[in-house]
Amino acid sequence: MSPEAASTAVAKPAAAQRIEHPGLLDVRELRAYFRLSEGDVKAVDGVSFMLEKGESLGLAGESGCGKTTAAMAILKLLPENGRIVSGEVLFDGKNLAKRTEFGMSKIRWKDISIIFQGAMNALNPVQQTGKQIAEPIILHEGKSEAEAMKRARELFDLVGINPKRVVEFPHELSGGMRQRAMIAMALACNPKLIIGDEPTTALDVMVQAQILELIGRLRKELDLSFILISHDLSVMAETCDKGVIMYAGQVVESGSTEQIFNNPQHPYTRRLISAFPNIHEKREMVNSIAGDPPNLLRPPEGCRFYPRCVEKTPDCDGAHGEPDSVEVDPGHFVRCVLVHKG
Amino acid sequence: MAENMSTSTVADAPVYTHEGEVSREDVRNAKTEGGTLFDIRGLEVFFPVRQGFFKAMVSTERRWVRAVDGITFQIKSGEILALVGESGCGKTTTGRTILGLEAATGGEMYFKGLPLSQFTSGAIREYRKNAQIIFQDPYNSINPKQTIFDIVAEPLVVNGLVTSEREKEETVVKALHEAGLRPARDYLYRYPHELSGGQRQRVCIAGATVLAPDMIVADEPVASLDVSIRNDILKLMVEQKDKLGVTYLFITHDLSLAWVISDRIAVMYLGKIVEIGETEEVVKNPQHPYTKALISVIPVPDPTANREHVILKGETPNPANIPSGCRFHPRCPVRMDKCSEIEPGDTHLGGTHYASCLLLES
Amino acid sequence: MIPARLKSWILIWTPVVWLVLELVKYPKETGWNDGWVAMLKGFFDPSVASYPAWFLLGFAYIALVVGIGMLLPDVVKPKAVKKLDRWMLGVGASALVIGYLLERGWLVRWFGLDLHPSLRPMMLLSALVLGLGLLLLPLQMPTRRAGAVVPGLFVAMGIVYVVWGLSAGGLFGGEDPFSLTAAVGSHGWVYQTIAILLGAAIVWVWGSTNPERAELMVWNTRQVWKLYRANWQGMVGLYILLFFAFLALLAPFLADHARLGSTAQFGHMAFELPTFNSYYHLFGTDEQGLSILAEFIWSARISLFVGLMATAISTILGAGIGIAAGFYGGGIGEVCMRITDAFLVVPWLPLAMVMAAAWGRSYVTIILVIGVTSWPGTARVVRSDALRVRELQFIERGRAIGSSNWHIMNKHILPNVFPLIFANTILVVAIAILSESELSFLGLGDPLNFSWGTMLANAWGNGAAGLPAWWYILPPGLAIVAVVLAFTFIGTAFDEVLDPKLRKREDSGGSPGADKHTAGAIMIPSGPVGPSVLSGDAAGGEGGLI
Repeated sequence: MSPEAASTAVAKPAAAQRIEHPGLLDVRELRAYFRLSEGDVKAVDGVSFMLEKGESLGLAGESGCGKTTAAMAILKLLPENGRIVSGEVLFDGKNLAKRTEFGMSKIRWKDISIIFQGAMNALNPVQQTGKQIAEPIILHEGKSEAEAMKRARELFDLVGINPKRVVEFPHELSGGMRQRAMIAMALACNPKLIIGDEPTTALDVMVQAQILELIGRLRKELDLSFILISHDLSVMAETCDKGVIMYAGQVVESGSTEQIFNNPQHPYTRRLISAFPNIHEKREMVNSIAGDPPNLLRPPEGCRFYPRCVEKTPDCDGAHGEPDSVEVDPGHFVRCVLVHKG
Repeated sequence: MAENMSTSTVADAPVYTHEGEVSREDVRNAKTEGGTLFDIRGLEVFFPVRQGFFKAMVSTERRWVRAVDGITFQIKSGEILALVGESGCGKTTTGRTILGLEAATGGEMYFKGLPLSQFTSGAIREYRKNAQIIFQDPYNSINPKQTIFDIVAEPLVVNGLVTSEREKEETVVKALHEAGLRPARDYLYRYPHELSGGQRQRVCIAGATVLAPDMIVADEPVASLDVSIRNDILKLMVEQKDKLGVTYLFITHDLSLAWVISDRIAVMYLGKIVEIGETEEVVKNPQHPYTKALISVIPVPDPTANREHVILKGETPNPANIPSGCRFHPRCPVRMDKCSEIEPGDTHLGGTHYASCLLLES
Repeated sequence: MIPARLKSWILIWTPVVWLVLELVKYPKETGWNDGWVAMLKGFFDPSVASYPAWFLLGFAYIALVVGIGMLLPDVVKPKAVKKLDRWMLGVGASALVIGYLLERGWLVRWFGLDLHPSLRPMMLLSALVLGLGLLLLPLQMPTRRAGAVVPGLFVAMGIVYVVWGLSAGGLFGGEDPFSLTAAVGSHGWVYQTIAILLGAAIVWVWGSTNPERAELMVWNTRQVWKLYRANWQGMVGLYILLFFAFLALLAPFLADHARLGSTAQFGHMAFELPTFNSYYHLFGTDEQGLSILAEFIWSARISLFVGLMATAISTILGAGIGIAAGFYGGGIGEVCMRITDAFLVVPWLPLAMVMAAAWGRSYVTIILVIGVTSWPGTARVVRSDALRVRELQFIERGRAIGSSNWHIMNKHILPNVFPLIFANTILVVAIAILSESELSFLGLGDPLNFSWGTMLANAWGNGAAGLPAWWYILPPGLAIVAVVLAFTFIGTAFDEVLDPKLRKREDSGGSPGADKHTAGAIMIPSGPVGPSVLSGDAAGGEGGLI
């Protein structure tokens, strides 16, 4: 049997699976590029994943892999020189990729809101925190300031800050408190989905645990869906239902967190997991991945992880083209030549 | 020595007999006694709280930020000792005070048996050759206008250790090579902004090792780096410990990193060491409630891990307002009544393992 | 091996520098009318390159200090002696200044102190201390380990300047006794040429012995130029500036200086309209019948010169005090800032008038006034930047490895503050030129020389506005606007250009190491940072560099 026939026998076509069960957010073959004078940076180059209502999905990868860009592309918040080249972003059946700016402004914060990286430093230092939370409420829902402040107090209570502190300025709140305030702001208009871009990266371990617990509780209480963007696989493992591992603008592995961590198929995933220490296991030196990510101005042909892969075979080099995404288990997708071979 | 000491080897504490000032020659000729490079006793570093104009005039008492509130520990030659704790616990201040970048307001630090408070300025200059530091942020801790050559050569130049251009270049190339930047000569005339974060951190390490110091204080050396290169730097540190005999004081908020490379761990909370011991002991058999809570909440890359997360309420208090009695009592999940009144001493738990908790004293 | 680019730069710019310096002091009387031969001969006239003796001897001192300093071995430069030397300079200079003030009776008037007679010994002592400090200044120079050629060249240059200075002062063959302020014409161009060639040789030898650093310097400069060229404002400013610079330098060839003399020679009517009849009538005539074109061209020299000199004073003072104030903070910083504040509130216009009354109306007065009143602005700006740089972590690293304050200020603070100083300086030039025009307009300029401001003053004073003699007012007015605008453009362009993070090497991908904590930043991971490809010459034959 030829290799091609073998692969089709083993693999289920990825796309067919998803059309049957459209979830809350369905990203299909999203491509977002940045225009530079030297050419296009292919920051997001064929990313697909799906999120059901009430689920939490972890978008993981190292810096430069495109996870933040993908999130920005979902909300069409790319900078001036960025654009969505192709692909679909289906939210509740509507394709966000094709929406106009005006259409997007209705979605942002009302249906999908985002907590930016370094958010706790993004608060206006000369304005009371409560007023800053009230702002989107006034803008989006047309409420009066008094009503908005009342809601701000409710939100503070919801995220675990004493409601009386709405009059305090950001510098009077600790880092953890400010992050809670940012979460409150993200919840202001009762969104269906919140995207958190490295929400706990700059926080202490104990505060991180508190914030993650808070997010978990809110998800249950409000039936929220959550996309967690993080470079920290450990955090993703413990808090997310699903995971998407990105490398060089593409998804190399996706599935439930159990599938990814118990049965990682992609060499990058395996190496990356072993780069995180496990304090409850045997004590051993963590791994590193030699080399650098590829230059996305001129991404290599074929498998993008090839130069750094320790499990590579001659079949993996560029001449054989890019590997397709293959479903090895129900819901568990891997983009690797070796997996192709079964 | 301060009344309340944290964990220490008090019983067999050596007595240091040096009298009077410590001169440059003394430092140069000093030897490590019994494998102990540093012996820190009752170290206190207080900062005055800046009060408003009127308050300063009216109030009589002086309020202090007790960043380091009386800690005692040793650093053994050739080991990696990790100081672990959350922000505000005083670990960074401790590291900086050991290097003389902050002034100690109480207690004593002995370097190879010599008291740091008695060092003349010449002795301090000699001492600086023996103790170096690596900072957290590789983007800001080197001068962006200097070439890599100049950055790494600077400690040599500044301390008057350069005899010829040739020798300077050889020493710098060797230091870069040891730090993993190869081929070293290619990096000599580049600027920091041309290198990646990991490479810059290696330049910092090269800059610290070029003087062949006895000890390097590494203040969160990998916190700003990608996970996949963190491990390279950590491996480098272990390698230098093994090959060159460099002692490391590894300051980090990430207990799992300390778990990976350090020989001993000291857990700090609000200016005091609450638990100290061999790494395996502290992590596998923690005795202090704070250590237990920390270990329970550290995430691991295993979604099926099923352990109870002891999530503490609230945040670390302001070091200007340290709670009475045991400073951890407001957040302690297993506190007793007397914890708010009595400050715990040190309990020896076997070997080099100590913890400071009233529950252990009974 | 000297990098090829540096070689060609030296070969091109040395004659250019020579030409410019020749033109600056070119005999004003020679012009077109005298013919080609006379014009060429003018370059070698005895009066060319005649500077006052003190100026030349000052340069000689600097060159000798540098040369001898680099030659002296490390053993004679213990840190203690270096510190002592700096103290002597500081104390000696301060004591002299205070002594001068005392002698002038100022402190007598303010505080009722009368120490007059006992001042002489103190002044003498402080002069001695200062003199000793200056003598020991070579100790501050770092010893050059890469050979004695460059220091030797510096010493040679020093000797040339000494001889030149002595001959300018009238020591050789002069009837009058030697005088420091004399500027006896003595074929200075010979000495100047030798000095320029020695300077070029220094750069050449340095480039040959440090090929990697020379290559870096060349590359840095080219990057700056590349970035600058891409900025349209900067280019427009540069072209305008070049135009006026040419006007100023080539003045002897473009307009006969004699035309600025009295009317009788040329018999032109006052306030004639511009016509195309004759060259000198292109801009018409002024109230004395003199050619405005000639005045305009010769004014360029004065206006630019005054602006640049005033800026030099202002920048050196401002940057020095700013860095000291920012770096030291605390007591010294406060003192510096109070002094700065004191000068800041000095109203420069009344000061100019007072100084003009006291020291006579001349451009030196104007330069001093502008310099003294504009340095506080620079000082404040530089101080705030020094404060910022002081908090950066590499300063702390500098302390941790044992650097002295002096070392940190020189090697760490200054290079990082320099882009700001540079951009600020350029803007100060613009202001200085404008200020000079204002002062000249008010009549404080040299009555014997023309600057654009003086032209406007004359126009105004003689009723040109009423006529309206627009041809008298527009050229100088527009010229001032154009030059100020040019410098402003250039300054703005340099703001953008001098950020080193914008520079990329051809071989590496983009900005290295994307910062993962930057939200929404373009995530361009670094391409493999491999061996740098240096230019062909430098790399040839040296395997270690590839």
